[in-house]
Amino acid sequence: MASGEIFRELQSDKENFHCFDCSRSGAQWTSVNNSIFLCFDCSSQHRSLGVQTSFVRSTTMDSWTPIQLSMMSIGGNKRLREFMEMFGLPNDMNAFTKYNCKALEYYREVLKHEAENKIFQGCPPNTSQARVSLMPPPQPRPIPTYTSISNRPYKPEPEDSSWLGSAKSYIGGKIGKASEMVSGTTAGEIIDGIRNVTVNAIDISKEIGTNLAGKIASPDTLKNIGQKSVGVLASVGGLAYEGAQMAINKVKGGKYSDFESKDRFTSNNPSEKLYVESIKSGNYSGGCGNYQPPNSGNYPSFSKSNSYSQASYSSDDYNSERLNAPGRTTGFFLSNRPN
Amino acid sequence: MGGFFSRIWQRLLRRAETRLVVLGLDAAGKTTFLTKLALGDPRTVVPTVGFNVQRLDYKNIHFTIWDVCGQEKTRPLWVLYLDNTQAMVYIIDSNDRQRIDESIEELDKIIREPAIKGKPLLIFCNKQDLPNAMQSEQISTKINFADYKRPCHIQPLCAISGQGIQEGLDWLANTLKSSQAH
Repeated sequence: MASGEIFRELQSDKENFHCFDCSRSGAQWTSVNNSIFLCFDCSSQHRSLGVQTSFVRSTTMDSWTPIQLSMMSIGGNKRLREFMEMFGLPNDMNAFTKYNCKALEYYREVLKHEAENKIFQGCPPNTSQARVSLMPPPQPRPIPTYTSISNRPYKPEPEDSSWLGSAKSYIGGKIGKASEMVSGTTAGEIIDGIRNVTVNAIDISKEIGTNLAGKIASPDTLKNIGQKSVGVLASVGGLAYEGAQMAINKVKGGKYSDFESKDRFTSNNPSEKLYVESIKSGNYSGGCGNYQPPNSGNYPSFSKSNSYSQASYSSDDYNSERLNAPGRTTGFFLSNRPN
Repeated sequence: MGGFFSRIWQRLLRRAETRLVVLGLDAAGKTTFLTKLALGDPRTVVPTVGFNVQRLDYKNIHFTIWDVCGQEKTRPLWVLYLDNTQAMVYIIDSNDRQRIDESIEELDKIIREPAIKGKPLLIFCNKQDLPNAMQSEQISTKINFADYKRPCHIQPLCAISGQGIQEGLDWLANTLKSSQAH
């Protein structure tokens, strides 16, 4: 084993055989970026410092890359001890203050460059500044900010939520009113109502778009908004088409459950074709439908049979399209178990 | 009569025996997580050689948690700990930006084992309190959850202070309960 032979040779030097921190014999652990040999107990302290300060590896239980081996061979306990004596740093310091000081940061950089056969350009710190710690003291620890992945994977952009939310509530309210109208009127009125809603929605989104174009500078955001609004319009068209199909099926005597949404109409101008089809279908004999309209004003509940998933319309989750892309399931609770 | 009631009572309060295995690269914080969880005492732990086991009651589930050595040459032995395991906990060192890919490669390797097919996976992004730590969102983009075909959850964690442990275990307990109900 190559690494074992190298370590046997390196530890034939007596100083490398002893732990750098506590000088106990039988050092089997190393800190690679400081290039020192450590005992089992001191390696645990080094592991708590973080990998940028001290990258701990075992001489026996880890596999080694050539660069790591060359770092160990150019450094060693003796070299770091002489370096610390040069700056007047005592060896019996607390491990946190010792390895986070500026002098050792410089030493690590020098070693790293030497192992890659480069020359480090930085200059060593003054003896007065050598002890200055690079890290904040460990106590008290800062409280981390937790963004729980299961609730909200990405941070929302503040400018988006306002306009999209208002547009959605407006369109959702209109559609809710339309679906209320459906329950007690004839087929012609239903179709008219749906058509009005669709046209209104298109007008509103045009207005919103022209207002926004002046306010938002970044082209990425604009493009994003454009894509979203096209999606919203297409889903409005799809919903309107579904409503019309329901009405037509009712006239023909079919049930709502027979309705199939596979060949949904999603062209740029959905209202026209709808209207033509409604005229062809003839008169509606009246009566209440079995169909219960979903909650009015709550837009995402309407998109249940739509090709656009609900999550992509949640008001402040703009990047969720990345999650809904093929190959990824929605969110982080992945409920795609076999049963 | 008393025996009858006590039997019903025991049946109502029957605890599910659950075996967990905690995996991750070396120095990710597996033993610290286990120590904090079982003993409530964050301390500087020595590198694990072999394994640690702790028993723990949480939300009426009886956990037996195995914490396995993560050094590179002992990683082939991880497979031996997976038999009869109900769920896997994988701990990632978010501070170690150089080895994050290695960590996820190891996860990809171990997740294909048939012994834990379909079992829930809880991923802890540890060391979130360090200034250079990667956000858990960043880490989640590197993981291809669709291939795993199991319930997964990512939880940020600071194992020393214990923040995030409870959220993760709550998810695990709920997932295990719902999977046992079926």
